[in-house]
Amino acid sequence: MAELTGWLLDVYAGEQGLTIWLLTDNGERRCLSQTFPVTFFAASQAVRQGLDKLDLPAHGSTSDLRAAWRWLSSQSEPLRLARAERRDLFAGPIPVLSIEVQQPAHLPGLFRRFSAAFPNLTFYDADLPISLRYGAVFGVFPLCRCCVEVQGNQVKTILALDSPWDLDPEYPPLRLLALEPDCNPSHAVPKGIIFSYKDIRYRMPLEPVRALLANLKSILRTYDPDMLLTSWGDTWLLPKLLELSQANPLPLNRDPSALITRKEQRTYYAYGQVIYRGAQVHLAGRWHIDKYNAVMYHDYGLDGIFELARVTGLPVQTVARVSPGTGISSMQIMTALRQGVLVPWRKQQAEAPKNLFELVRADMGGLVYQPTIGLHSNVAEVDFVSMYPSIMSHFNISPETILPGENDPQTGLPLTRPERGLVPTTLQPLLQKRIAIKSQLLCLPKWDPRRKRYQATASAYKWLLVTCFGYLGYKNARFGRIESHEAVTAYGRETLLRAKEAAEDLGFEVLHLYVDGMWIKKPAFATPADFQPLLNEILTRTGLPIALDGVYRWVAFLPSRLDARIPVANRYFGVFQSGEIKVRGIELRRRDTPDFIRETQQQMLNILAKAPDAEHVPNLLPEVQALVHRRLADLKRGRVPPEKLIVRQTLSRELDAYRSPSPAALAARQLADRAAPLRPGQVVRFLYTLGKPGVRAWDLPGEMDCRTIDVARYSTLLERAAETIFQPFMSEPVETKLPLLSGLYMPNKTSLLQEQAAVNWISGTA
Amino acid sequence: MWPCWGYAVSMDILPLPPPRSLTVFCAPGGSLEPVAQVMAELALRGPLTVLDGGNRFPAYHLIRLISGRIFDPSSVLQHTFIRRAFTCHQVLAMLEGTLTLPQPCILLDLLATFYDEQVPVQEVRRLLDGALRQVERLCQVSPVLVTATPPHTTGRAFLLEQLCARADQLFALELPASPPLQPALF
Repeated sequence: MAELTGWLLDVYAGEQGLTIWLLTDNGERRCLSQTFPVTFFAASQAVRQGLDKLDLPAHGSTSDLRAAWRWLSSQSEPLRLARAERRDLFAGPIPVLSIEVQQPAHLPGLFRRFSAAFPNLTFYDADLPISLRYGAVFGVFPLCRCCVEVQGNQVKTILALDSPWDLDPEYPPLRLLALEPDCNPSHAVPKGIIFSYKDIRYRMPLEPVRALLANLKSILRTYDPDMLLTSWGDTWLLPKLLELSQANPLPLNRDPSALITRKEQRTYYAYGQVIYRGAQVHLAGRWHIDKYNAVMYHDYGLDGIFELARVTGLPVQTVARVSPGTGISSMQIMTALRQGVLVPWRKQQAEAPKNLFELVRADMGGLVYQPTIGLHSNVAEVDFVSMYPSIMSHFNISPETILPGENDPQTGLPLTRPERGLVPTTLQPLLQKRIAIKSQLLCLPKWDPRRKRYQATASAYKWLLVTCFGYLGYKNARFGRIESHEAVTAYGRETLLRAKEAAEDLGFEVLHLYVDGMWIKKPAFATPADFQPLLNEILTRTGLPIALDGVYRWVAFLPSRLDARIPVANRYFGVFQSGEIKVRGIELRRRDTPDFIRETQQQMLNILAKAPDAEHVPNLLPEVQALVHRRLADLKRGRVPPEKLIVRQTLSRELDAYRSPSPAALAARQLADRAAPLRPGQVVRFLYTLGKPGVRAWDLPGEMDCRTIDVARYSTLLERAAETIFQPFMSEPVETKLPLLSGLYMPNKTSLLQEQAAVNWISGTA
Repeated sequence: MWPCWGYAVSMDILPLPPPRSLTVFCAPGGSLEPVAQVMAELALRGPLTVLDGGNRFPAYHLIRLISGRIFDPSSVLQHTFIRRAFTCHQVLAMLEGTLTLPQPCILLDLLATFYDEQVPVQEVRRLLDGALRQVERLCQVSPVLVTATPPHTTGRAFLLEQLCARADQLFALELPASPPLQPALF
């Protein structure tokens, strides 16, 4: 028996039990195996729903379970069947048929046949990732430090030496090979591949193929990377390499006995958006991560992916490509497995009956108080720290702890059971670690190398925490329940109201409330320390942590474009005392705003940010106006590169489903006609052009004639973006001023006198 | 796509469902105004159960309709019961868990979740079969009104046909014909 210490890289079902990859302290990549039977369960639906005693034609009876036992006994896979009792999260302990499968690799095929033969049974623990099962049993997780006792290549015991909640875990010294085509394959046909590893970087042409493959094979053999980090590797590069190397396969997999796993592209609907996920290529024994197919890679990078793998228990390759919702769901599954709670294959709980009165009271979202329109000085923005997850954790809100229809007689808030719920148990360490990291970030100097990793971790956690609330009400969440979702918003509204009352009791003026944030001011209060007593008071009254986001030198809350008397929630721009600009709800934040418009609006704000307070902002308006004139002149004289005018929009449906095609659909149609079809959820890039159809897809082959760009349309877009910034400084509603404002922007009419007149008019002194 | 039998509803009037019968109302685009009128009428007469399979329950509109008829709608709000389901598995579980009571029952957008193409056709067929058996159970003592919308794709049109085949009464909302368009001169 030998003892190995190192990092756990990967776990997957192999030919003989589990295959486990370990990177040892002496740099060896060891491929180990372990016997690991897995168990899933089947139950009668009638028993689970408590309907067996009612005179209902409910199906999935206990006789079905007996038939299932007989069917399973006749299968070729070695199984161990038993009658057992397990805990359903909602129904409590229930009798189940326990099916232990000796080889984890047999489970998916067996379950597919079994569920088709007995569709009326309820199944549990049937489709869980093997890494979660393994982690639940041994307490290990991807990238954990661990100590393994082996006999030959067989793992006898494995013990985790660190925790996913450590702030500074020791990461393995990985070998990374970066591969990318020499251009974006959706724009043009690549001619070569760029290799980067260690300090080496070079380009190999795709032709001759033999040389390319020989080179890559040599690198894979000699350098033996732990990870292929690619650009468009899922959607173009690896499929291309696999196609080219059919006759003489490349050792892309480190494990020669395993197959390369390919997953089809797909489109799905979530959080009100159509989302597209490209095809995937997963390797065995080494990881493949495609920067352009990894979720949020641009936000938290490899550091965030590694951290997510540690806390969710999902393999690195998987966690890089799944949504944060899948991440939080995996964490809940891990908690359930450790607590002996059954994980349903399909969630079946419908909402408990409510009367109409109760429904109207319960089915509400976050609390919003519309802002006080206009420009304000010395405004503090205070936010609850991860408000909804904190509420779930603090008030023990979980699908199984909510008592439907039972409310606190005094506050009207939903009541919960005292036993700690599954969701709060899952969230608590995550919340604590995020708060600890944020505290560290406040203390660390800017040069500290840990900052980058902490920021990535905080960002990755933020997305997990953001989605955990949505998942309570998500139809496909394993442990979701609409009542718990409603309970969270009810507590959220009450919490924000209490915070508002605390602020008003201490003499603050509340300018705006938005779900978990509050904008307040008080004469002569301008430093962060001035607001600390209020934060303490809110903490006392609500029990939830709240933080000062910052104090604005000035902030402008914007009205509706259609009616300047109507405020719009969460639409503002302002400058913190640190000089940092914050904007919400304006063109700058929209994904479909062309770079040219975005940059111009940012530059306008940069000029205004020089003002020390609200009173001095109007003095900078001539400078802003001159900037807009220059940018318009650039546009009209063709001095703006076409790529800065690209509009990016997401296709929301199949092209044939558009009744009156949007510009995005028209551009996508142009691509489809050139055999480059896009799917719903994919982004189409286009320019507005003169004549019909009014757009040109950016990715169409061939040179574009820049004279066809619809300058007037871009001018209008720029003027609208400029109006947004000028809006708070106008004394009358915007719509009455538009013609005059447009005239003022004409570069050939500009003069110093006119500019001064404009400023006077804008500031209301004309 | 449309079943070839049933009455075409050309006005916003839908008769109250008769006792112990299944009435199906098909509306393209999910127009619920006639159903809201029926819901308000039934709620004013006594207890009402609404089972929502497509997140379509028009709560505020219904309250406005009821408030327009009586001074204090609170008692009506108290005896109008609503349950929602968000997947076809939940729809079946919801129906199985609904007791057979002598009060009208309205199922809103019953097929919406069955059109989810992530659920295999075979599974959907089985679940709908179970759901329709439950609907028949509910029909044995009370009037049941089911609303449905046609599918976006023809692949699942059989679901609507299956539902309509079980109906005692079928109403289909006809959309008004498009007005003639003035051709553009330029």
